[in-house]
Amino acid sequence: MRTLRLVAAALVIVLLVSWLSVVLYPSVKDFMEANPGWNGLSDFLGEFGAELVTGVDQAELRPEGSVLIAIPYLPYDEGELRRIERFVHDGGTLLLMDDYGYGNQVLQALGLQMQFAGLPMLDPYVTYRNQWFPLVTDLAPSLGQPRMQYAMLNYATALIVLGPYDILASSSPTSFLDNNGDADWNRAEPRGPFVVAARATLGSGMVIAVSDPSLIINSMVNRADNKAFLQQLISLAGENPYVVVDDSHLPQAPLDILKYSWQGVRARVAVPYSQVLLVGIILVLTLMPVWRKGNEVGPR
Amino acid sequence: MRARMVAIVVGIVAAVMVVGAAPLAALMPHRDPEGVSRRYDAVSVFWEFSEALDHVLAREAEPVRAQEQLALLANIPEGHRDTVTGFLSSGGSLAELILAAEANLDSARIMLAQSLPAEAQERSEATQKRLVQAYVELRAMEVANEATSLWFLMFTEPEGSLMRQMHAEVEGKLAKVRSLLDMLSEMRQGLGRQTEIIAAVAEGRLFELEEVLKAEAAVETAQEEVLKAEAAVGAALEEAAKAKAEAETALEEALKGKAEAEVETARAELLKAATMRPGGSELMGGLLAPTALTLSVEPLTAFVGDTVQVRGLLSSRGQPLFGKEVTVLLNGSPELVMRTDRSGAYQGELALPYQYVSEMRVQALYNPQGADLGLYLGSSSPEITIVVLFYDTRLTVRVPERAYPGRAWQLEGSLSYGDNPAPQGRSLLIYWDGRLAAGEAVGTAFSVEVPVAGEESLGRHAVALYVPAQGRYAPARASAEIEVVKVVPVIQVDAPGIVLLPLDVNLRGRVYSALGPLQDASLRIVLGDREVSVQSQEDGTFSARLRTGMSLTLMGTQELRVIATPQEPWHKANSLAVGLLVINPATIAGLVFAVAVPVFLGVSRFGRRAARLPRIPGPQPAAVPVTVKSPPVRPAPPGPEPAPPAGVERPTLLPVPPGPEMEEEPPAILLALYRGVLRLVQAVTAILLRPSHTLREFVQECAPRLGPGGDYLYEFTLMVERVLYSTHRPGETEAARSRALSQSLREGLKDENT
Repeated sequence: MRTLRLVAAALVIVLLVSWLSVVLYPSVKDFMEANPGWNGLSDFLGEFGAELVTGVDQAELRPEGSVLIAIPYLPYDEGELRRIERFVHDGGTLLLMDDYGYGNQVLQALGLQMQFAGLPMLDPYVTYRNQWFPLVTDLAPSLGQPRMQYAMLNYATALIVLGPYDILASSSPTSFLDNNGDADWNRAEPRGPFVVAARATLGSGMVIAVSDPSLIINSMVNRADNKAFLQQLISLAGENPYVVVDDSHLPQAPLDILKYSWQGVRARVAVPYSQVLLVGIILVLTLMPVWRKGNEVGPR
Repeated sequence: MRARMVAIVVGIVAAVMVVGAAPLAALMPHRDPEGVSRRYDAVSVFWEFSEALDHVLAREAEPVRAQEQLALLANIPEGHRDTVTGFLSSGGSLAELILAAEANLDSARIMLAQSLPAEAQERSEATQKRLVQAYVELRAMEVANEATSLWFLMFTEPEGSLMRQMHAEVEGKLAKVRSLLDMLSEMRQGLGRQTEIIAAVAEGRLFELEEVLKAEAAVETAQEEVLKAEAAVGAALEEAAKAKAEAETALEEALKGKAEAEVETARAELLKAATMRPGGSELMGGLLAPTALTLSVEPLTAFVGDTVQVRGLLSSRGQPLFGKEVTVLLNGSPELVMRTDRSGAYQGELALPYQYVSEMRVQALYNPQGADLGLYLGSSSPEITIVVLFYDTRLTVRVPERAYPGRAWQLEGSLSYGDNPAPQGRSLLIYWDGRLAAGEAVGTAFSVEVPVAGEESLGRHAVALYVPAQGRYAPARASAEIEVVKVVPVIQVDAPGIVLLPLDVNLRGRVYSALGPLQDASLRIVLGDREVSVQSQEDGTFSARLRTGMSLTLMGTQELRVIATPQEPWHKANSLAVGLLVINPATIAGLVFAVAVPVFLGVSRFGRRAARLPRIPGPQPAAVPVTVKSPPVRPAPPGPEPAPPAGVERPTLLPVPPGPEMEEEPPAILLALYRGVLRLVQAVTAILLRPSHTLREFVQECAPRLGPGGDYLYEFTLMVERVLYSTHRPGETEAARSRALSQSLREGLKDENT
């Protein structure tokens, strides 16, 4: 019995410590809302009033006036692709931000003639600190922001545009696609400028492809004119659009999964009936020893 | 101790949970911009410089200004940023200055030709200012270029490195710009001096100018010839002076308010008089003589890289000019400088650069220098256009409509040169979405295998081809698009139409596609909740044995699914579903057995009991624990039953075998022992054997109260049933067994009661 009690106590302590870790320890995963670090999404969500959602459900409610930001680092299944296609055709705006993920799967499913190159696009000259952070100075007039000077990318790729789409932003002539992976230009490597953002109309909606999702992480969103650039891209969908970020295709660490689960539990418990039930259970558990003692009062 | 162990365990678990989250951070390809190191690239800076100089030579200032703006954002060391922006700023200014200087020079030449020395002088001075500024800007660019090479420690780079190559390219272009400025400067000097002469003539300062020219001629190597000519022109001078005097008079009168036309006419007469030359001699201190420059180019049609002969004549008033420098320009840039011989002829070879353009312009230029400045007007030849030949290269390609991931595709094409001879081989570079995918030497017709990565994304891709220039053969480009798709394989399955459970199902099949059979494809075959996994063979065939096992299913249609997951990246996963009729005869039979047999048995037993087992009448005695003494092993002889108490009927439990000779027979022994056991059980359990009971039912009702004895009773009952209801005659073994069972039961019941 004593051993049993010891094991039970240890289990309770472990659970308590685990729960505290889940609640208090910050996420460090890319694009996580709960990550306040350089690679989190908290700043973007706060400043743009965007919601983090899982899947297309939220945006599907009203495609017109909605912007769905998708970062496809995990593959889509057929059903999801069909829902995205329907969302765009019904008037929604898909802001597809990808560099080395599964963006081409989405573009292909939507029948668009453009591809993410999948090779690093580097610029040793027009860049921030080193060739991996190219500055995009060639911004289309259709973005309509005269004071916007340049956007800054972070380990981006380029868009290979084969169809008649609007080119929204291009890199400088000193940029190049790093074919051989040595991060240095050589004469066999094609030089820029390369397309980094393009827009295609599809049905009643549109698809805006951007070859770098890092624009929206905390350390990038307020760099250079990235915020204005993103605002302009989003405003192509109209005045004050409803912006959602789909995290269903972002890999999550177990800690983040547990955090989300905990948030779900909290949401359920936050309901009044659940709170009453919880209070009742606590009262019962607390008062049970007292009742037992009460039963034992009096002569045997 | 235990508490310490618990604390350690808790600590380890918590640490693992916390630390376990950390390695899962930031697997995405981006970095914190704050933490990255700086890296400057010299090659890109020199590349920018080279581009800027191309624009300068093309007299395009705007693109250089745009480069200057971009340099403000560029990744350049802060201490060096001014140098780079300075280079580009100077480049922009230089392009504008060259353009302006050339325009002024042209204008000055026109003014001079129209005997407007003041206007020509003004233009010349403006040109001079611009050229001075241009040299300053050029010098600044040269200094910036050198400073950049020092900043990036170019001297530590190996020979032939890309940095050195780019730096050398910039130096070459700077030298070209300098050469251009030198040429313009010479032209300006010449024009400027000539303007002075004309002005001096017009203002009557000829003789003062003559002294100046004399003094200047003293440093020339042609002084001896000039001195010789001095005497010869003495007489001419007198004549010229006479004419000049007349002209001066006419000019004075004209300047006293005569009509402009008369002024101009007088000016022209003065100029004419001032430039009169005795035949065959140069006029020292004389006025400017016009010169004529001819140019001929042979051939007028030439291939790139070939040399053409340029020749011509420089003369003045029909007299050849000896020892004069003639500059040949190619597309506006000085390329060749030659000296005239005694017959005033010049000649040389001009190499056509490897620029694949349809024509190039050649022009000769004479700029008087030194003593010639006071003697001759500069001149230029008419521009001659050379038709530039090269072997135009036509690249045609045929790409398939589709390509497949992991599978190379054949690019076919041809290089055609029209009627021109074909070279031995040309380099062909193939780019896939901007990535160099293949490159090899090809002939006129080629077929190149282009690999496609196994993980290549589906959809349309851009294919670009480039054939670099090679001597007389111009470069060529072509582009195409190709769609990358995956092939859906076909699955064929030979499956029985009917499946009998629980028998195994043997399946055979084949998976293949238009590209061939699927080798080593993983196949999952599922029927209901059973599945089996196999792999396909080399020829795409597969066979499998699906164990169905027992199931509660009686009969129905079930879907047989075959899911193929190919190994080859060019195949898509696919599945096939086939409906099969499943019949479970075992379950059906079991069900029938489960329903029919009990019914049959129940009916037959009911009839038999009615014949064999009497009813037990009256009230049942209360259950009282009875201490059972261990009876002797030998069965009690089946004697007459003791008389029951009055009013109570004792049930006759089992038939009593007839006759004393049957007492020792195994059947009798068995039955007698069983009777005794039944009595005991009824007494212990207080459950009586009723007419409606079968023996087995009675045992089942008593068994829970008998403990382990229940098993013995059950076994004993089975033995008795066999004796009663079949033709079986038990032997000694069974009799012995019955004794043992009886004994065990009695002992067991005794233990239970205690």
